[in-house]
Amino acid sequence: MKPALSVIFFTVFSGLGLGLAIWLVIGQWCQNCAAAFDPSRFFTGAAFVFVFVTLGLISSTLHLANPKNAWRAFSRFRTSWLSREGVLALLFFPLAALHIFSVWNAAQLALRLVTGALVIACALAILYCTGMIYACLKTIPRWHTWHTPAGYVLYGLTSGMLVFCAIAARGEGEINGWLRIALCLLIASAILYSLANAYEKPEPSLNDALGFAEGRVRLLDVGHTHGTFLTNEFGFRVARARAALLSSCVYLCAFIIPIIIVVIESSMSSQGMLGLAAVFCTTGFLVERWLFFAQARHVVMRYHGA
Amino acid sequence: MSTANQTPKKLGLAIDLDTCVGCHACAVACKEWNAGSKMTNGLPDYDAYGKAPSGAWFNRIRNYELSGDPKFSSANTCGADSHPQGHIPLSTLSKTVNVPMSCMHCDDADCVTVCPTGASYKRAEDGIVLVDPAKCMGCNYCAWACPYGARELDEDQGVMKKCTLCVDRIYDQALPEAERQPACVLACPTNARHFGDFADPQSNVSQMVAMRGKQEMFPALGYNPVNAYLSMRAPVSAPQVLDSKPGLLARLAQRVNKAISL
Repeated sequence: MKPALSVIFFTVFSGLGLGLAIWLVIGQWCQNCAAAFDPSRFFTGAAFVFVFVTLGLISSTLHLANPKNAWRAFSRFRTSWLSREGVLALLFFPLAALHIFSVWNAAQLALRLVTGALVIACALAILYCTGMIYACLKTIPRWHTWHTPAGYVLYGLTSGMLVFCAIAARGEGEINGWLRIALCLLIASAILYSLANAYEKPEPSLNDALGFAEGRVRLLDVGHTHGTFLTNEFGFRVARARAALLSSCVYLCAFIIPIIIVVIESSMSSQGMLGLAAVFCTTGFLVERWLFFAQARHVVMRYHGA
Repeated sequence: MSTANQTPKKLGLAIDLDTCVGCHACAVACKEWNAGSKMTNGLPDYDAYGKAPSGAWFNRIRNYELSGDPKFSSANTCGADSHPQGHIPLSTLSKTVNVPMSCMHCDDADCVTVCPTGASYKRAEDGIVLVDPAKCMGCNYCAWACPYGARELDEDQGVMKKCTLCVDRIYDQALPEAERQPACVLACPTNARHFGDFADPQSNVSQMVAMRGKQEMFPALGYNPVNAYLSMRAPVSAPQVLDSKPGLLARLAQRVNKAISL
């Protein structure tokens, strides 16, 4: 599949923003828990959420060939995961505003719990829908597994957590509890990534594509002299060696470097480099998302002899 | 995720892989009709006279070579017995298969299910899958959901386009009845394409499928295409008439031939 930069930016940054929103709500609930979160940092975090989610959503419209009809994408939520994601993304802003309002007015914990829970549920649902947009496609076997929605949710939570830690570190209070959660998320993400990367789903053959049970089929001629919409959209292939190189880049940037930084920072309690960990992690997930598209193979390419 | 469409009529094409010669006449006729069709609203070409000509087509024909299929490689395949080298290994016998592909108007059309705007739809009355260009936002998601490569983006207008089964021909009362058929069917010089209602067991296309059986493309994906590819038949060998006792002249010729070849 052709890796469209707008979709890569959209999924990574809105994922980060939604993950951050979830941790901000939990942090704000846990002001007096073992893992403290300075309430004055809440609004800084909320501003980051707004910027990341909004930038992501704007970026998502850039790959549309006819964006003036984008508003219609909210209409088919009963059948389309893409529509569901759009509707929930739109719902996210008023829910987040309601929660920020209840925090701003220092409302009772019960009210903050309800509005916060709504924000968390909405953010998780959006992340899941984004994953299902890709996972529901039977035409792309590599995406048609549980790894896809699990990855979108977990990677969003992980990158959001690192940004949350970087924000929390600039406030008062002990954040080692959060760093421990960040470490668990990073390790879980690394395990999921290696599982998804190693999983080879059996792909249909040219015989399946043409309905020949027996014999061997090979392509003689594709019938066109230059590229078509189909070859442009689905024909992208990444060389095995290049994919392996980029995959090790994902391990290094998204998981290994952030894990080292988090471990060092939590033992030295300096916490000055957590922003760097978040930048590395997000860069790693951008590469991961590029590979997600580049390594996916659409079954229609069987007709083209691939 | 299934649309579970069981429409009262199931209009579609039966395509005979035995008779298709891969001439591309159907694709050209399709392009010609849809370029001028109000329903399709144009079918663009890009760099048509340049170095990298491309464009949107609703029907593409690809050629394949089938080998090693016992149905076509059996001893009665024409020429196998009488070949001067004697028996030909099965693996070397092959057959060219021309496969025209356009929208299959699937019963379970994921392209319709995934469409976020409602631009993609399957008509309740006859099962034809269409795109409403006034609603399409050009996200390409429907094309991703199609395993048959039936949808292509009109890059000039930014909307997805696809085979309409010539919906603006088949119901046009102004046309003579014989011409109320898709342009590709009318253009086919070998009569390899047939248009009809697959929901009616008495229709021409249903009868053909009943007689010949059909070859299903990506059956495991579960899209349940309406269009049918009629199964290829095993070739029937012509009866070989061998004189049990050659005449005098023939025997003389044989002896002379043998003497020369020695």
